[in-house]
Amino acid sequence: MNFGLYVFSEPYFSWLCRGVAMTLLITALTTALSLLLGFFVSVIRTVGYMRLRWLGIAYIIIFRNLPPVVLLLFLIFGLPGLYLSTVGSPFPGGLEFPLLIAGLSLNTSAYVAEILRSGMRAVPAGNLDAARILGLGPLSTLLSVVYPQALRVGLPALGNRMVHNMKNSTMALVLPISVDSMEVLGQAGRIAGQTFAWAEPLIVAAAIHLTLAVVMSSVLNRIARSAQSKIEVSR
Amino acid sequence: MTAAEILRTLLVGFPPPPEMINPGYPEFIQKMGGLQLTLTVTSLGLFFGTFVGIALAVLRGGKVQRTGSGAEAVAKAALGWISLFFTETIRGIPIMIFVLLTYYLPYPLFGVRVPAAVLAVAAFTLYAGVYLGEIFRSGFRAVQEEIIDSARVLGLSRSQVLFEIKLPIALRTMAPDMLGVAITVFKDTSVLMVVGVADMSYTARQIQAAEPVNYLLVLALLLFIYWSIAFVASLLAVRIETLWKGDGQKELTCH
Amino acid sequence: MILRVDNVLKHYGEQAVLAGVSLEIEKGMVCALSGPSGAGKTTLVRIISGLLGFDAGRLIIGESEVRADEPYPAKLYGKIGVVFQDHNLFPHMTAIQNITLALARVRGLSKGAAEARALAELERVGLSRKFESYPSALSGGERQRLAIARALAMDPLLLLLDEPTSGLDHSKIGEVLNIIAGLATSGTTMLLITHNICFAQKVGNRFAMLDGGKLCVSDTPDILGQTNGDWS
Repeated sequence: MNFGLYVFSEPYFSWLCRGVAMTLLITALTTALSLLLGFFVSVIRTVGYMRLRWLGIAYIIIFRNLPPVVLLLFLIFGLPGLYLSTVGSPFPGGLEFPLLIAGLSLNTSAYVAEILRSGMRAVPAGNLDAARILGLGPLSTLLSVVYPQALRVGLPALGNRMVHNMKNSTMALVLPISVDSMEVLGQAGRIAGQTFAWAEPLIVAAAIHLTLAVVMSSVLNRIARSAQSKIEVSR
Repeated sequence: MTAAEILRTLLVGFPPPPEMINPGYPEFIQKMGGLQLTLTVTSLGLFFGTFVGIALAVLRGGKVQRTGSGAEAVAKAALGWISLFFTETIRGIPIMIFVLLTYYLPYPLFGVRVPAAVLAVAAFTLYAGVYLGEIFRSGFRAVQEEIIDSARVLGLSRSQVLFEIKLPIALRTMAPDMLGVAITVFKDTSVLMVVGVADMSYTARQIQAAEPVNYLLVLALLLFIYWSIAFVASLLAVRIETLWKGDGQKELTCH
Repeated sequence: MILRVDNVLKHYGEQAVLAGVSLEIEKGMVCALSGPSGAGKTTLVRIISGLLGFDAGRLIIGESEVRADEPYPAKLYGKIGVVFQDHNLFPHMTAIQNITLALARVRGLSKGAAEARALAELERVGLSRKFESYPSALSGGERQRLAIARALAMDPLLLLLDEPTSGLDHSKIGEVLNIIAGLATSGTTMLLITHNICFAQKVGNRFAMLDGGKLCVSDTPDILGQTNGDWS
């Protein structure tokens, strides 16, 4: 077997570059979206009225237990039919990429919500008492006292989850994504479709992901550790 | 197909056409699909993965801390590094890529053609093994030194201490996390559809292809089955954690 | 003579934690050992019970000799009872199982005989009604009493107690001290490490102070009153 260096020649190389760019884009979008969604759900889960709280619990239970692949399949192949039967007009086409982002974000956000929730529980009760005595209302207490601490406590777990989220971007392979939007594994498949050899593009894709994962987790770990050391003084 | 038939197919698999059945392998394995296959791959992967995990943990941990000769120490350190490298590599690669690698590498590398289902089990064995190895490594360390000391002064031999004290305590502490790995493996088998292994998600797509009318129903059922199994298992994990927390060591500090 | 510590030396790096300590304990004697925290009392207990080696000197336990350069004789394990500061009960076993484990596995008793003996010891420390409880369900004082029962069931030559009441609620200390006093009266050979001078005076018949690596031994309790540092 040749050592597959052909992968680094044109046009494959630019395909792979595009793939890496798309992987990073997907990761960035899903990270942002899942953090936002996860935040809201954790608020609802902890602070909302009883019925709202159950909604939060249901959200977490549903999206944590659904495999990403299955969720994505449903969004792409099942949603159009659902839309048609409920709304009446055909589902707009060309929405594969947004649905990919949505699916991955829903999945990760459930984990984020759970991490933030346990982070909130780690905040000492005395802090809440102090806030109340000082006259802080519930919203200010939440935003200024609870969340900053919850976030710091949860940073290591959140970092882990974000790396996992990036790895989940490869689930896009099961979806009919357009060639321009394919992330790195999809591009590897595209190369294999031309050369009929999967091994080399796969190894390159694996190496890329491994590198990205190592870089991402060491950066996130460093951030988490410096945040942790800041709060240790105050305990 | 009626809803009942769809459900049954999702559980049992789409029967392959007779001409596709390879007489070299047992028939019932080739006919297996759907949830059946998913659960089989999951359990086999977890079963063999346990041994892989133990091996990795032992190589990393070096439980028997005897000062051997210099060469022995170097060999042990090297094995430990290999184990670390192996673990971090597999953990760093997305499961999707890993499954594809196990499917597409054997032929160019070794020239053998292995049935996809076997490769699937191998992939999840390694995957589960790596995660279980991490759990085993910290689980055994977590058994408090003092408890082992009290066993020794009572006169229990090394192997008695291992089997009567270390193992039961470590298992109780590790059980919830081990169940977590099982749930993760179960959910991740859904990526097998890209290599043509007839797990439940692949079967769902097969049904969709044969029966385009009902695809919403098919997908809804697929979602529900995956979700309910994962959900029940996660409840079990919580239950185990609260049940055994008291008999484990976490709450057992004096004062 | 049950125990003879003969000029035992133990270093940790530069420091000599035990700088040639000697002690003799006869059968039926209760020796109370005290000293500032971190002075090496626990180290001495670990050395006597075989959990830790030492650098020079020797131990004579019963009829066996333990030398510095040789491993602790395997047959001595199970002959010395140790009650640790943190009870160290087996969390996954009930109270009675904690006791029967070693009886069955080490002494080779049958299940019935082991259980009978275990119940007798539990009776002795006042825990017979809790025999099926797990350690997590017992109070601090009960856990320590169970630890004593577990050690006694093996008919040890010598019972070592390392600050058995430290960390207990004040209300629970009494129940443990009563057991120990009872054991002293019934002739159990003990080495008791404690900061509780009053109790030491009550039950002890030999007294020792470990400070700065040196052990001062006397048959009267007054040496316990002398301190070189502060007592926490």
